[in-house]
Amino acid sequence: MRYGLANCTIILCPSYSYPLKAYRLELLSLQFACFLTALLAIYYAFGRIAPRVQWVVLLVGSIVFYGIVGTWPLLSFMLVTALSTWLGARKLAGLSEQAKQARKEAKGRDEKKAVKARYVRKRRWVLFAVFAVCLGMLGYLKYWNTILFNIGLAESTTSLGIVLPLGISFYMFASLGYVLEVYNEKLAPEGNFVRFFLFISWFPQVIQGPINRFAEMSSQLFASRGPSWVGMRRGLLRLCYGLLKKYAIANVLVGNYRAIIGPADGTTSAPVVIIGILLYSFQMYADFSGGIDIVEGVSELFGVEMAQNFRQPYFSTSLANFWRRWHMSLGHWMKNYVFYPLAVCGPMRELNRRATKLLGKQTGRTISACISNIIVFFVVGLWHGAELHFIAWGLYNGIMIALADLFAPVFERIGKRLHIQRESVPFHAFAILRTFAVVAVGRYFDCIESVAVGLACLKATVTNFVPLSTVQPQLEALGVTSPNTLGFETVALWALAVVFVVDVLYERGHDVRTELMCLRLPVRIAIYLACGTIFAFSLRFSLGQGEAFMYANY
Amino acid sequence: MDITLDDVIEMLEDIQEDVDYEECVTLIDDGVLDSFDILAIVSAADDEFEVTIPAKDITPENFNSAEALCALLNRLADED
Repeated sequence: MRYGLANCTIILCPSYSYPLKAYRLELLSLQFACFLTALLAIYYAFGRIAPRVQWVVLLVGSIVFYGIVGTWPLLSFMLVTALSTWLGARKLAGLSEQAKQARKEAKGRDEKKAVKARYVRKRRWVLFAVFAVCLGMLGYLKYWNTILFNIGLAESTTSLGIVLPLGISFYMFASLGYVLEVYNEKLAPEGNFVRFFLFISWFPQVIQGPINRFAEMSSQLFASRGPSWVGMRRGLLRLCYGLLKKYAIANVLVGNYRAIIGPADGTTSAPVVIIGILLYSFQMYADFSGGIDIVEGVSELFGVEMAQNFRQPYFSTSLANFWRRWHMSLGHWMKNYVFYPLAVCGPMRELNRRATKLLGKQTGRTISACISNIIVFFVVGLWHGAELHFIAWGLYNGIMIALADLFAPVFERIGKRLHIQRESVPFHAFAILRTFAVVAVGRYFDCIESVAVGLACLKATVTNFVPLSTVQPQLEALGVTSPNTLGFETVALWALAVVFVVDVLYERGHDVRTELMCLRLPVRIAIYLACGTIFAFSLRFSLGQGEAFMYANY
Repeated sequence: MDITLDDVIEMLEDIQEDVDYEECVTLIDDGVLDSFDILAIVSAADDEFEVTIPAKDITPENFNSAEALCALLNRLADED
C-alpha cells in the first residue's frame, strides 16, 4: 500500500541495461519520510542513552533498508563480499606482521631478501583469492548473461533472469579498496566484523554510490554525536537540491530524450540528433548528480559526510579535467588501484625507457601514462556494462585523453605561434565549450545502445543538414513535447538556470549552502518559494511514472 | 648517496617549470601536478637517481612538496 505522493515516487531499478527487477524505494513518500525520521530519532536518542553503541542503530537501519528495498535474499551477496574482504584484510595484516618478525630473525642480506619474497608471494595469493571471490561474483551477476547472449547461448541479455543486487558495484569497489589499502599497509584492518559491515552496508551509499573509503568513513560512522542543527539544515538543503535536480530536470527531460534517441539512426537530421544528445547530457547530469545530492544529504542528516562525487563537471576545460570532476569517487578508485599500479609496473618502466631513447624525453615519459589511461577507461566502460557500446565509450575517452597528452607540446607551440592567451577569459570559455563538445561525442556511444547506430548518428551530425525551419515539425513527429523550446520544457529550463547559478557560485569558491543559510529570512523564504514552485510544477511530469536513477544498480 | 633537495627541485623543474618548488606544499592538492606529471617524476627518479617509486607510495602526502618527495626518495634509496 502506498501513501502520500504515491505517483511521485522514485523506483530504483536496474539501469536501462538491466531491466530485470524493480526495487521500490519511494523517496518522496510517507514511508521513506517515516523511515528516515524514525531512524534519526532513534539514532540521536541512542546518542544520549548509549553513545558507545550509537552506530549499531545505523547498522540496523541500513540492513532494514536493504532488506526492504533490495530484498532480503540479495543481502547474502553483500554479506559474502564483506566477509571475504574482512577476512582477507585480516590475513594480509597478519602476514605482514609475520614477515616483519621473520625478517628480524633472518641472518644476512640474502636470507632477509628470501623471507621478504616468500611473504610477498603469500600476500599476493591472499589478495588474488579475495579478488577472485568478489570479482567472480560481480562478473557472474553482471556480465554472464550478456556474454552468453553475445556468443548465441542465451535468448537475450536478461533471459537467465539473474537479479543484480542493489548497489553491488559500489559496495564491492569500496570493499576491494579497503583490502588494497590494507595490502599496501596504508590502513590497519578493522577487527570487528559488525563494524566493518556497517561501512559496506551504509544505506545512503548503496543506492548509487559514492565509492567511499574506510579511512574517511570509519571515524564518522562510529563516532557518537548529538544532533547538529546546522549540519542537519545543510543536509536537508542538499537533499532538497537533489530532489529539484531529479524531479524538475531529469524526470522532465527523460521522455523527450528517449523520444529522439530511441529511433535515431543515420537518417535522422543533424539538429535533431544534436538536440537529443544535449537533452541526454543535461538529463544525465541532473539524474546522477541529483541522486548523489539526495543520498549525501540523507547521510549528512546523520552527521556522516561521504566522498564527493561531482565538482561542476560541465565547467571542465579538458576531457582529463572533466573526469576529475565527474563520478570522482570512481575516478579516485581507478587512479589509485588501476592507473598507477599499471603505469609504474616493470614492463611499463621498460617501455618508457625504450620510448624515451626512441622518441625523446617528453613523448617517452608520456607513453606509459597513455597506455594505462586507455586500459583504465576500458575498465570503466566495462564497469558500466558488458555491451560493446560501453566499451567503445570507455575507449573513446581513454584514447582522446592519451592523444591530448601526447600532442600537448604541439598544441602549446601552435598556441604560442598564434599568440593565444591561455589564461584569458575568452580562451577559458572556448576550452569549456570544446570540452563539452568532446564529452558530447562520447555520449553517442553511451546512450545509443549500438556502436554502428552511434557511428551513423555521429556521421549524420556532420552531414545531414536541414533547414532550421524543419526542426520543429521533426520534433513534433517524434512525439517530443514542447518542440518550441527544442524539447526543453520551461520548468526544466528554470531548474537548469538554478543549477547553473549554483554551479557558477561553487566554481568561484563560494560555500553556497552556508551563504544561503546566512541570508536574511525574507530573502531565504523567497529563494525557497521560487525553487519550491519550480519543483511543484515539475511534479506533473512524474505522475504515473516512477523514474529510475540511471546509476542505481551498477 | 644522499639525494639533496636541490637535486629534486632540479628534476621537478625539468618536468614543469614556473612553479615555486621551494615554497609550494600543495603540489597535488592544488592540482599543480597531475597524474601525468607524477608518472614523469617516477620515470625521472628512476633515470636520475636509480630509485624505483612503487605505486603504493604514490600518495598526495609524498608528492605535495619537493621536501616530501626528497624524503621519499631518500627512504626508498635506503631500503634498496
